[in-house]
Amino acid sequence: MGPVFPVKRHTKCATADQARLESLQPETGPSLSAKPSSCIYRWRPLPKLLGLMALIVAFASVQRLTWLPVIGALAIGIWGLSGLPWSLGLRRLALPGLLVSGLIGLLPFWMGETVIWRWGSLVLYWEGLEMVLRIGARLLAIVALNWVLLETTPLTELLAALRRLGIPDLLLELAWLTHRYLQELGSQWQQMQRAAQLRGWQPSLRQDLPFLATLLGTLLVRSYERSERVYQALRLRGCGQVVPWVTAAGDPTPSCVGLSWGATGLALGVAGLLLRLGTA
Amino acid sequence: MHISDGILPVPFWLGGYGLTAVITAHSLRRPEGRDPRRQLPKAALLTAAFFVASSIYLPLPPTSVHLLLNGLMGVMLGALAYPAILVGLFFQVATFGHGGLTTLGINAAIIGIPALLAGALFRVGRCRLGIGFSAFWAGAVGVGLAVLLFYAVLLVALSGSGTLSPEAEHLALSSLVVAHIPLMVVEGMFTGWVVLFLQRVQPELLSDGESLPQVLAEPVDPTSALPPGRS
Repeated sequence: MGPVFPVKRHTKCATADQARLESLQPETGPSLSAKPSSCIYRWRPLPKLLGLMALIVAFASVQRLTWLPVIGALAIGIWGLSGLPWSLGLRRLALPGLLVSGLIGLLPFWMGETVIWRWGSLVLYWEGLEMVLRIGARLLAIVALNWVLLETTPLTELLAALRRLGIPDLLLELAWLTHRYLQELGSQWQQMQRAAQLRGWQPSLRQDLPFLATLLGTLLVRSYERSERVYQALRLRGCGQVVPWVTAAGDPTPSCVGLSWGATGLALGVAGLLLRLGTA
Repeated sequence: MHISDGILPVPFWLGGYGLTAVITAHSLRRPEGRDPRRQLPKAALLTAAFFVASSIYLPLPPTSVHLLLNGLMGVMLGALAYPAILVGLFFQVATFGHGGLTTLGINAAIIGIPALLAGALFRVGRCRLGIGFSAFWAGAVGVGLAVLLFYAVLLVALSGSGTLSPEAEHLALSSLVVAHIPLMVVEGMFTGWVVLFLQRVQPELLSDGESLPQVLAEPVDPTSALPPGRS
């Protein structure tokens, strides 16, 4: 057997995903690109989660076209407050990709009754265009808030906040363990890939499939026993709890906590306003 | 195979979260005499593998596709496949930006429900069809149902909020599903090979927690982790 792992040769998207996979950090969760001094970063995890999720729900509910620029401006404002680099935002916004670009390209010509432009058999409909504008604006705004939340909150703090919201411990332990195994599996995968590439195997579907199946099987077998030992060790150290539940980093002074809940109140107010005025 | 934020109307993704909450709660409930925590390492491992495998693109001319592995998860994890898929999708949102936070519930339902059915199909079929064939069908059915659900949700959501003729819906759904048949075959073959490999090398990985090694079924004794003479 001398096959090579085929990821890097196929698509730019695959390469980007692979690069992201390589950059996973097990202890910090999603990469923390925000300035620790930014007010969004200092927003306590639980109120931040509630506030941003309320805004996301409100953004997803907006139907009126006149309110779309408002949600765009809000998202840009929050991104600016987070201190995250604008270049990162542009990169992340490109990720949702294929499905959305397909819909945006197809819907105006496929859906609707009111013809606004015709060229031969190509017909542009108002209803389709309207829907594309809604989908595009909501997507950009929600994706921006998603990334603000995920980039400014370490995973353990996010899991602790979710736990306080009543998400079952078992599910959170699963998430935490998965995150720990991700780097190990990712690096083993890279090693296998490199070893196979050095053997000079040319990728093709007929040869890739059995090879990849064996590769994944080997990866599972190698990691399984180790994962059991790691899990037992974690339980020994943590008296039955796998996840080291943490409070948010930094000093939770009463003023900081008060400001955090104040910001959440503001976000809930804005979300309520959007739900009342922006929906059809 | 992920629906992004902003596409679905609110009732759809709220419904997706409701459905996911119900199925996840059911999957995590403690069955008689079995602690679901014992299955956690395997579930987490497979979730991580599911996540890693989602970055593999296979050339399927004229395009490239990536593996879903939901059938394999159903085969290996049984009921825990659903929460594992939920967690895997969360990490895909957090790392790759595939899917979205609002659509996490409905995406989990689209991929997770076929995984549960594929797992059941494997367990029913392994005695009659043999392990390889039943794994093939589990993989193919897992991805086929996921494709069907994905496009059905998308078309119903779009037609509910605009004007889309039933003929156009039917045509789109059937042609998109037919276009995914090669993917079903690929996923079925891949699942079959992985399951046959595991059956040969480490069959307890296919046990769905029913026959875990006895050492894992026993409660942890803290002194057993210490070197001799230190207890």
